[in-house]
Amino acid sequence: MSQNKPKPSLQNRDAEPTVAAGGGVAWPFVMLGVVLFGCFLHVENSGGAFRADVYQSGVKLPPPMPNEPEEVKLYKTGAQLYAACAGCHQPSGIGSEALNFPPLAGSEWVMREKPDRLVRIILDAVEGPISVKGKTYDNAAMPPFRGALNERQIAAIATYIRGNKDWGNSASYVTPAQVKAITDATAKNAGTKWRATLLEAVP
Amino acid sequence: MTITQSSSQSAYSSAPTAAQVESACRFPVLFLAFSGGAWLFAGLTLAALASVQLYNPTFLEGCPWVTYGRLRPAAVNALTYGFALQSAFALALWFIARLGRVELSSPLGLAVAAKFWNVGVTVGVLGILAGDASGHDLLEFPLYASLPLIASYVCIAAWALLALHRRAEREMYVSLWFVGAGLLWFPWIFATAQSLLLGWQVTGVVQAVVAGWFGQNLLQIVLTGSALAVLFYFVPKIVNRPLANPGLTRAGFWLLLLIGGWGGLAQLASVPAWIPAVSGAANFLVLVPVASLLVSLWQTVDGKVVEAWRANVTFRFLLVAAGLLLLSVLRTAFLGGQSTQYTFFATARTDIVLLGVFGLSALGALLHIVPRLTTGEDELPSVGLTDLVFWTSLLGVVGVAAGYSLAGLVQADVNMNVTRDFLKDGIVASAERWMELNLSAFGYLKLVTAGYAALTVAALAFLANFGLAVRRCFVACCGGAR
Amino acid sequence: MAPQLQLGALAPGPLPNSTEVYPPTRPGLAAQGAEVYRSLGCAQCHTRAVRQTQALYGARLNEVGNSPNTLLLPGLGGSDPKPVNLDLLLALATIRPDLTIAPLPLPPALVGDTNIVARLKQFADNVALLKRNDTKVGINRPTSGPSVNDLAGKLPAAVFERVSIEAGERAVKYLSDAGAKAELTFYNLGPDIERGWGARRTVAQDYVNDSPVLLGSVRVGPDLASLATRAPEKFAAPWKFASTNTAAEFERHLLVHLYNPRVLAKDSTCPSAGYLFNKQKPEIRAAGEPLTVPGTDAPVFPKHEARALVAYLLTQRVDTGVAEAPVPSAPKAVPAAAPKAPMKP
Repeated sequence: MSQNKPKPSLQNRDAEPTVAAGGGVAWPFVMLGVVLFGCFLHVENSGGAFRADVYQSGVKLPPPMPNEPEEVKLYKTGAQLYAACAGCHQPSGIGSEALNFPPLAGSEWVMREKPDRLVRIILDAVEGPISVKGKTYDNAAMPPFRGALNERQIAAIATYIRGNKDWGNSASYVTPAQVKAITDATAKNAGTKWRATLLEAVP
Repeated sequence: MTITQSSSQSAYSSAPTAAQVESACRFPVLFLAFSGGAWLFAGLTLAALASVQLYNPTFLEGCPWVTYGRLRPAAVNALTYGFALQSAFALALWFIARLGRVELSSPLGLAVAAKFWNVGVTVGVLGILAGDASGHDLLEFPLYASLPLIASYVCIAAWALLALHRRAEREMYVSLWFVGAGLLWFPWIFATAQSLLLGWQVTGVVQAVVAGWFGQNLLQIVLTGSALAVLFYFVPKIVNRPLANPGLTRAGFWLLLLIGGWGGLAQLASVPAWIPAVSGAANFLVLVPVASLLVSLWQTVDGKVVEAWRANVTFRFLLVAAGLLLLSVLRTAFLGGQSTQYTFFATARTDIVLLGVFGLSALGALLHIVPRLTTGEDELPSVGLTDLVFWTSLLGVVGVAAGYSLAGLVQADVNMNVTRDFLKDGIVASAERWMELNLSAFGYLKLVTAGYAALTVAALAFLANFGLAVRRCFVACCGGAR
Repeated sequence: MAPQLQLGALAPGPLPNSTEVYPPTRPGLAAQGAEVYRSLGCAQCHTRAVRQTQALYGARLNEVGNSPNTLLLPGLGGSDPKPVNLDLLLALATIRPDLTIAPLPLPPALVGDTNIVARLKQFADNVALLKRNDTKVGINRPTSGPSVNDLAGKLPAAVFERVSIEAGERAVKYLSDAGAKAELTFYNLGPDIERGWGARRTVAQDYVNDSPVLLGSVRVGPDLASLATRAPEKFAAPWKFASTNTAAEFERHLLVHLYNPRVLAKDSTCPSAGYLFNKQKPEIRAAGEPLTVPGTDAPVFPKHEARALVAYLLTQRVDTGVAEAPVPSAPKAVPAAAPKAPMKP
């Protein structure tokens, strides 16, 4: 780096620039240190601790709203509990035509004004031929959930299935009180699976 | 054909002379330099037309191809890829040939690769005008234009790096560090950004982060680095002194590579606070390497500035470019934050680096290189045209930089002040205001148009002088050979 | 590459306290409009990002509430008895030393009610004590002007506006302790928000459905991030809506603006997009409604691109609060003040 070619006395157009002898210097690094310190202060003050949810350092956000509406809580619980149903009815609620699992998404049995039929099916299951979205399914694999899930859990699942916008469902939510009323009304039916024909009498 | 013969004759000599290496790199360097100049002219014309629409919206009305939204990105990309990168390639090849004492092999093939680069830029600019712009700053070329660019770049860079590897002069001079770094840096950032934005599209604002990162690296490391290569080559050579303080230079070089690419996101909104904070800090940190490099140059030239200014036209370009480099880094560090966000102040930065720092250095260097490669003389045939190039480009760069920056400050004031009317006090006023005066005839944005027009004249004068030199060369060489 | 690690995995997700997914998917026409927006280079002059410089807090009094000291007193001129929470008045007086305390006269009809007489006397004593305390700590309470009684009389009332979170929370605590219903409110501040360009800052989540993400870097024209929610009077300074603010009118205004920006915004420097309109009725079934531009005679027919671009612009809304950037809740409608039964002795 520090070789010295013989320098021409006049500016020589063919000569290349050369480099004077000289070692390293310290001041850029001292300056770097000083500026770096200032930069650390700056990032410390306005960097928001490198968090992904801080868009302005030092600004306090209001505490999150304390109460979620009941139906939102139910929906979220239902989304977790639906894992038990997803095995057959699929996470996307489309069921499986090939394997004889009726769909929940867009199903006229789900999307009724009242949740009575849906809750009855969840409570005591259904067997025998049932027509869903123009296809007839016949499957006795559905287990009854009476006793296995409490009223609140059943209401949560029903709310999730009926109100899942991703599936295109938009029916009203289901309260635990509604489920309790249906559970009590059908108590004598416990242990017997429903038939589609019987369910059609239900509003 | 004569070129290849002469290179093959001297291929086995260990250290070819300056004349030999220059004759070997003549064709590709001249081709790249001339097409660079042509793109400078084309890009500046587009930029001038676009800037008129900022205050005269009915100008060129009625055709989607020539509205501001397409003209401006077409102009910036033509200047970046057509002029800046192409001239940078020309300079890189010449530096490698000269400083490495190496003869380029098969220069015609290299010229073909350069031709493909030009095809890519043409397709890209037409693509933007046709409405296929990708929408990311400095990366607006559609994918179908980027692919030939990458292919052609791989050829040019591989050629250049091979030549660098075969160099006879093993000691690498400072300019070659910057040239080599730029040649390796560009494919990395370009390929990364293109694949993240146009290929595998990243989600949401990460796209803006990637585009900002690319733009910053392109301007601050590749193009500024190329300008620094020119400065470090010509300044010691012109004042005829060895480069003072190489340790400082080395520190500045490595720190620039380390820090230079981190800025550029300081004005990004809608991202977590730490991204602009870190970026703003990097904009300050980059003052350190730039100061080290400029101090090292200053120590070299100390006491001979006036003399060199009078004696050498290249030196004049370089002095202005160095001043603009310092200015651009300072203004970004101190005013490049939230206060000037979303104003022309940020636009000015691209133009200062592209046309001022890089453009003036490249023009200065080419005014030295082109006559050597054509007529063999020290200066281009017409001294008058050379002077015209200097003064018009100086005035043009100052006009564009000052016009955009001052308009940006007017805008920044209005942006932050709710009581001011956004359009009337901000945009219209910046086209019709000059300091405290209200002049409908001449405002900051009109100064920008005047600047682009002056630069266009400079580009034309350069091309004319270039043409004169080539013509004289043809008359001399071919006439003599026959 | 840290930003990618932090933000790259963002996806449309549920909002806090609701099942809505944010951001919603753009309908097909709007998605085509995004391409028109990119292709015309609108992002060269328009940003799509709202900045915010501050977030301040306030306290809002929603209900007078029911405390042992809530009395049902007849209004000044009217016959309807109004519940008056004496504790609340004291709390308000404590946190707002700039308000006067109006004395509560004993209504003649209630002179015989010993309970009310005793409580009002107790209140007068407390006020006297408070005033003595004021002088001790050096507070000069004005003698005339708006009083705490006025403040509590018109609900919902902003007790504090634009103060620190500590002052806001303190006020809410005082008011809640007095049995009233109060909530902490907050204000997103900054020139962009005060110009009406959005209800809050834009955050990474807002752009998850966009590709390419066109944030823009220069504002030659106003910000478009929340164009569709702009209040009529705040629509890009010179724009004013005639009377209503219906979606159809909005769409028509945007189309007129595209056709000739100077019609609605005199100072606009936006180039006309006249090439997105047909002069003659096109020979296709879906020609759509003709558009009459003020100042011109013949109606023009917006092309599909123009309609798509407007549909895209109408999806630009930043009015939904997200966890990292909430929006203030609108004040609740005046609660149907069901007066609680007055305290029986």
